[in-house]
Amino acid sequence: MAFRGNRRQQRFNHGHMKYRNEHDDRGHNLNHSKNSYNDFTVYRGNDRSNRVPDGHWRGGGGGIGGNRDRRGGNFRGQRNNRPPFRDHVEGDEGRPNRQNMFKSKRKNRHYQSNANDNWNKIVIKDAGPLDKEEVMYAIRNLVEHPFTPIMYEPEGNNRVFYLEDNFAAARAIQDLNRRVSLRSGQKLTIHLNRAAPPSRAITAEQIEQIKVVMSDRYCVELKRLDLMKFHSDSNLVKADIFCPLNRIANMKIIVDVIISNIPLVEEIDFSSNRIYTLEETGRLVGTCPNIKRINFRQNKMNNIETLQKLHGLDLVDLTLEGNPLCDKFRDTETYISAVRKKFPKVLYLDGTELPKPIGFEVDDEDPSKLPKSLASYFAVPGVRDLVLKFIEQYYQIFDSDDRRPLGAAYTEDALFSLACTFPESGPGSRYTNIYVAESRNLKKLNNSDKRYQNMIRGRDNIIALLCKLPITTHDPESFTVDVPIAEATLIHITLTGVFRQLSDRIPLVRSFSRTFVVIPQGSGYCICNETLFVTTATIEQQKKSFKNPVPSSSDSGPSPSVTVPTTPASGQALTQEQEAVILKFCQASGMLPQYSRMCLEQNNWNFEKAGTLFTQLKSENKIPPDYFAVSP
Amino acid sequence: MAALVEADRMQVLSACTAAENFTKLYYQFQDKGRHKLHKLYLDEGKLVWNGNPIERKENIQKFFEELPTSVHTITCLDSQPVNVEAVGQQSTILVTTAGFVLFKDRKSPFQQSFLLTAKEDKWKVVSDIFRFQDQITV
Repeated sequence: MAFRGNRRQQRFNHGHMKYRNEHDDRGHNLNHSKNSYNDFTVYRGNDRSNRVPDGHWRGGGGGIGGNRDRRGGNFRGQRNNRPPFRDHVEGDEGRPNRQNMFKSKRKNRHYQSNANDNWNKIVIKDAGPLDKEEVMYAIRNLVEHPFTPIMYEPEGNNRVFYLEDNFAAARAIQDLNRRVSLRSGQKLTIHLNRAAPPSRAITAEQIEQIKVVMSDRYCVELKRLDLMKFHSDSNLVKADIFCPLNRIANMKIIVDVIISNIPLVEEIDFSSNRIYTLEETGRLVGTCPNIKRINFRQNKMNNIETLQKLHGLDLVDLTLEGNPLCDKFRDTETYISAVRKKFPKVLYLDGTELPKPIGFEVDDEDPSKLPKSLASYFAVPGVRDLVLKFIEQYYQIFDSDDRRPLGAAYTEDALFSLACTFPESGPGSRYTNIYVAESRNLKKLNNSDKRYQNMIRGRDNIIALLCKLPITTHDPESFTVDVPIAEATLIHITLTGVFRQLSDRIPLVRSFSRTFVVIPQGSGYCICNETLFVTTATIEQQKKSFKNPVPSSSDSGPSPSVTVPTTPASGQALTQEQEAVILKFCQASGMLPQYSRMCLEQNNWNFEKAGTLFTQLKSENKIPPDYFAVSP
Repeated sequence: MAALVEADRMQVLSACTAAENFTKLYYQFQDKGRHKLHKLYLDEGKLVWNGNPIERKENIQKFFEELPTSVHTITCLDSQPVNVEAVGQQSTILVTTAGFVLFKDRKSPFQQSFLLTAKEDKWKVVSDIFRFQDQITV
């Protein structure tokens, strides 16, 4: 048993042995941390370390974490005189194989990451009237250990400052109690307390200083931001700003600065900040898309799921060593695959190049691999003109207020059926009664009689139904035609596109798909079978539809007089003049065409009168918001 | 006359049954057994998939096998017997469907139209037209 001294002695040795071992045993470790604390050299220089046989610690490895404090838990391993992690031993001895190397690295990190928050508060009694510089100078002169005093501030008449992870220096300073004199001859009374790190909100003024520090720590050429041990940045310490990044409020400030100043950053080093949550850091996803490398070495993240917040960053290089989460994995393989699940492109993990992932071909499956959609298709080029001409003529009549001439397009005993699907509520559900009543959707219609009845048989019946359907305007630019079969005896045609109906209170866009079976008859062709499917248009269809004004179909017939009032519910066709007035009113009011029409109709197409009414209703907030055109 | 109406009714309703049985099989094969799809097509069957023409059942089979995995949901189905004037005694039906298809993460509404003809005692697809409702033409 190596330790015979009192507890304090043990503790002290323990502390510096950690560093000895880290140096001696981990020398071959590729990952030997360049971030070793300043204290490192101090401990090495201390000859007392030699009293402890090296062998004793080999098992425990370099991992004994941080500067241990007085908490008893740290000594359990010593008392039992056995390395707490036995499987670690093999990793440290001889040249480790790749797997073990990884594992041991993670184990080592575990020790360090478990280090307690080692904060000490130095209280200098009655130092209120004393000059800070003089006091600090006097103390520094007598303390061999380098140290960084954080937040020299008043506490009553006393002055306090904090030390992080530097128990040795803290003890050395405590030992100066009543032994250090100022020029005035006054002796300083110094107390040492264990304390939580100071907690001060960052002021707006300090944020400006933090920005300056961050810009000093940003390398423009590498697009790299170094936030390593940010709270102990010498410029921040000088300014008595304490901004630890493990406080969410502080990280918020940092992330805001990054997003608004350096959104093109490619690499961020967050190491040694005791970060345990990525609550704020997650905002970098989507705002800083170029981030490729992140270093979280020596932080406090407990679970791999914490990283989910960063899901979406295309990370290539990620360092997590020194976080408790690393130790939750049984082996390296699961560790790597868990990381890759979050960041599939990671090639370097904890500074080690990963083997290239070998996937399966099915994984490459990607919807973009769908064949591109092509425009209209005609099996026989010669049929193109015939079919397009037929469709043009058909819709010229279909979109007019008299569909009876369409009778000529059907054979005597043609079959027609209509089917529709509409949402059960919402704007798309309105004014669909006629379609729903006639719908022959076999998915919903199980009754044989209904199935038979809703099949419209014969030219006259078909025309009667078509005339019952609301007046429509189709967008010819939305039409897509496919004709796979164009034989002398039979043509199979489908036509898809969008239309609006004037009777809709909101002129929403509807989508249709029509299938015709066409056969030669006499000198021309006639429809012998037809199905019509109607549904609401998708957002994409709505965006693209009716880009160009559709020519009015009623210009062939006699125009009703402008002054004749029409009933709002009527599906009557409009004159060109009326359409022009509607368009003008839409532009002036911002309302959708149908409401503009309604308003104009109520005012006998008097533009001025309708405008006055609109202004009045609008000022009284009586016009529902859905009357206005909204951008999709 | 009554017998004629009865025959007509029989024809219409059997087209419905055939359409139901066909679509059940067709979309089941699309989603879970693509290798069997060719069995539903006529040797010289034709497919126009979003404007891409494919002829003959072996090519249609190959085309479908290269598509990503799909999940079809059919919301609408309609069917008619094709007029005797057009096809004579060759029993033929028109089947139209509408619904949604999920290719990996992309859900697209689509419409599809088939002509089926009876060959011996099996329905076979003569022509098949498939279109996404959103026209993504190039």
